Amino acid sequence: MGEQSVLIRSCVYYALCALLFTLFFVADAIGAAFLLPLIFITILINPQHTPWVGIFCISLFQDTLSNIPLGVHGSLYGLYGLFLMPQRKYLFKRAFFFTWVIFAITTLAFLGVREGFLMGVMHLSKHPVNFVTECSFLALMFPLLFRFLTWVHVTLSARHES
Amino acid sequence: MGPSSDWMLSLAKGSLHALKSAIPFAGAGTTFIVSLCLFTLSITQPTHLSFVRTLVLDTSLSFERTLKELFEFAPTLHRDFLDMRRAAATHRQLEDENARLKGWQDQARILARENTLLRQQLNLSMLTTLPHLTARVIGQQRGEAHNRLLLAAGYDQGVAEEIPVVSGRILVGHIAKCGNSSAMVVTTKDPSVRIPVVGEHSGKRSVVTGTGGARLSLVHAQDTKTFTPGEFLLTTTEGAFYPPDYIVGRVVAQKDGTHALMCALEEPMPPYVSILKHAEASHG
Repeated sequence: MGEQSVLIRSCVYYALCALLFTLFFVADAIGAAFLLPLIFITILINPQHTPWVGIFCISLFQDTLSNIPLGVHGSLYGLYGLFLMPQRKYLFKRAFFFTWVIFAITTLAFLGVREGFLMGVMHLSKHPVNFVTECSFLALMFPLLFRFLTWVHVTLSARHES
Repeated sequence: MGPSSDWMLSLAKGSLHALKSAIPFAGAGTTFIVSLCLFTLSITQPTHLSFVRTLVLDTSLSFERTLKELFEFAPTLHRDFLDMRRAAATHRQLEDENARLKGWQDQARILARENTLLRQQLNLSMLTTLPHLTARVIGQQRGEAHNRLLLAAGYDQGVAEEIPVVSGRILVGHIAKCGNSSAMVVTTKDPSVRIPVVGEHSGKRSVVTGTGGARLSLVHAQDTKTFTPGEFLLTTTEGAFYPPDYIVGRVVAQKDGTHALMCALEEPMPPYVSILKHAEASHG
C-alpha cells in the first residue's frame, strides 16, 4: 500500500512537472495568448471570480517575452473582458458546441486585432503561419480547459456550500 | 417625507443598482485602463520601464530553471523506486528472520527452564555464572606430546596465567603462558595436565590426563569400569584449580566390554572460548 501510494504520488508529481514544462515552453515558443480561454470560461461561469490581477501580471510576462511594448496584451485582455461581459446572458447555459464556436470566433477577432495593431501601428511583422497555429492551438485546447475549469468551479462551490 | 427626500432615495437606489451592475466590469475596466497607461508610458518613456522588463525576465528565467530542475528528477524516479522496493524486500526478510529468531529464543527459554527443573529434580548442583572474558582462538598446536591453543587476549585484556578456560559447560584447559595481547592454553587433551574428576551419576572420583588424542586416561591405574557408561566426568572442587561441575569427558562402553573415556573437547576447536576470572585468586 505504501509503495503504491508513493508511486502514484511520484507519477502525479512527474506528470504535473511535465505538463508545466510543456505548457511553459509551448506557450513561449508559439507565443499563444493562452489566457483567452481562461478569461472566456471564468466570465461565463462567474465574472466576479475572474483573476484580473493574475491576468495583468501574466500579460506583462507575455509582453516582455514577445518583446513588444508593455501593456499591449493587458489592454487587449481588458477589452476582451469588457466585450464579453454584456454577451454573457446570450452565452450562458448554451450547448457546448455553440460556446466553442463563439470562443473560436472571439479568439480569431482578438488575434486579428492584436496582429493588426502590432503590424499597423507598431510596424512589428509576425509570420501569418504563427497566427493560424496560435488560433488552432487555443481552439483545440478550449474543450480541455472548459472541462477542467467547470470541474474546479463545481468542486469549489460544493466545498463552499458544505 | 417630502418630494426632495423621495428624489434623494430614488437617486441612492439608482446609484446602488448602477454600482452593483458595474462591479463585474470593474476588474476588466481597471486592467484595461492600467494596461493602457502602461502602454502609453512604455511608448513615450521606454527607459523608465526597463526595470519592469528586467524584473520580468529574471523571474521568467528563474521559473524556467526551477522547472528544468524539477524535470531532471524524472530519470532517477525509476531507480529510486527500485531501491525502495529492494529496501522493502530486505525489511520484510529481516522481519521474518527476526520472528524466526524470536521463536528460537522462546524455545531456548523453555528448554533452559525445563533443564533447570530437571537438574533440581535429579539433585544436581547448579553451575554458577562466573565472570569471564571471551577470547578468540587464533591458533592450535596438535600432537601426541602437546595440545595447545593460542588466544587473542593477554595481560592487556586482564588475562593472567593459570586461569581455567571453558567453552559453555565444557572445560577447555588453563592458561599456561601469557603475553601482552595473546595467551597459550594447555587443553584437557594435553598429556601434561592432571584433572581431578567425579562421575556425574556414580560419584566415583579419579584423576584423568590427556593422551594428545580424543581419549583421556586415568592417572592412578584405576579401572575405567569404575564409572557408569554414558555418564559425564565433571571437575571437582578438590585441588581448587578448576571450577566444579564442568564437563571434562564422557564414559563410553565399547564392544569388547571395556569403557573408554572420551574427551569432551572435540575437533574442531571452538572459535571463541571463555576465560574465567575468578579462579586467579583461588588458585593463588
